[in-house]
Amino acid sequence: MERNNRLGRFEEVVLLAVARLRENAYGVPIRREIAERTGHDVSFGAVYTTLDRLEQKGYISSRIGDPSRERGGRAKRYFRIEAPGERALERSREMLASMGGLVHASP
Amino acid sequence: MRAPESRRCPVCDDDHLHFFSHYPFGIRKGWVCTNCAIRYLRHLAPPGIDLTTSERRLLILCAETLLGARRPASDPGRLLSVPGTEIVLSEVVNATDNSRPPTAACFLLDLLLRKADRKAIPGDLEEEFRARIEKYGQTGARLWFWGETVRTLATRNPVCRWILVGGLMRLVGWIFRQIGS
Repeated sequence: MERNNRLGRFEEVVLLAVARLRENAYGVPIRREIAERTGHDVSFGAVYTTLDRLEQKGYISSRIGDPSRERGGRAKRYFRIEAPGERALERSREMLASMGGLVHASP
Repeated sequence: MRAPESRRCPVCDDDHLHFFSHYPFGIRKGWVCTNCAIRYLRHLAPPGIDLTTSERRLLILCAETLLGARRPASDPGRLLSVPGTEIVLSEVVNATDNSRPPTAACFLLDLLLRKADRKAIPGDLEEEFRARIEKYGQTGARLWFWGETVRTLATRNPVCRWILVGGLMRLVGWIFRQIGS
């Protein structure tokens, strides 16, 4: 596996949040999901930096939605997990499972 | 607030001025006539007049005032895009000034964020701000907005990060010097 394609811890959390939110994955719910699941209050800047990195790696894609009143006439940027992203999550899950197996197997 | 007698509309040179407009921090103040604001909003910019950037900005701000005063109750969700700009005006009249995020912070975000971030990030911040008003009240929400603005700019803008880190290092250095002396 190339170093560039490895998932960092926070990248994995953000990718899982995007996968979990499906059609409603934009900045606010992604940040809330991360805060609720991990207990850490992360900034929008950190979330968007990670999302941009994931998009560059081809794990997610984004599109601009329609502007709305609640957001002062500003548009939402929706994210969607792509096939390479799903494969990366699967690899990460398998790796964690195998490591967990090693812990249980050790005397 | 009435326009002074001697002032004329910067767009059509007419003398019937009605709307006062300003930028955050009072950088720019001016007047424009109602007709120009309406025509511009209806995608009918005054013919033969090439608007400068400052005039365009002035009109946008005036138009916001105009929309706030005349929003039709039958169509509350209507949005208007301003031709020649990327700005979309939302007709949020029921919202008082207190339910809007700090103007200066929004101005900084618009000024310092990259073009690609200018739509989504300030919108997300504003949406979260409105949710926090109900939970934590005006002061808490405004403080959160300012804090989040600084964090976001430090993360997304390398120059801001450099300035913040530099300032922090200077502050730490000054504290050590004070302790040492």
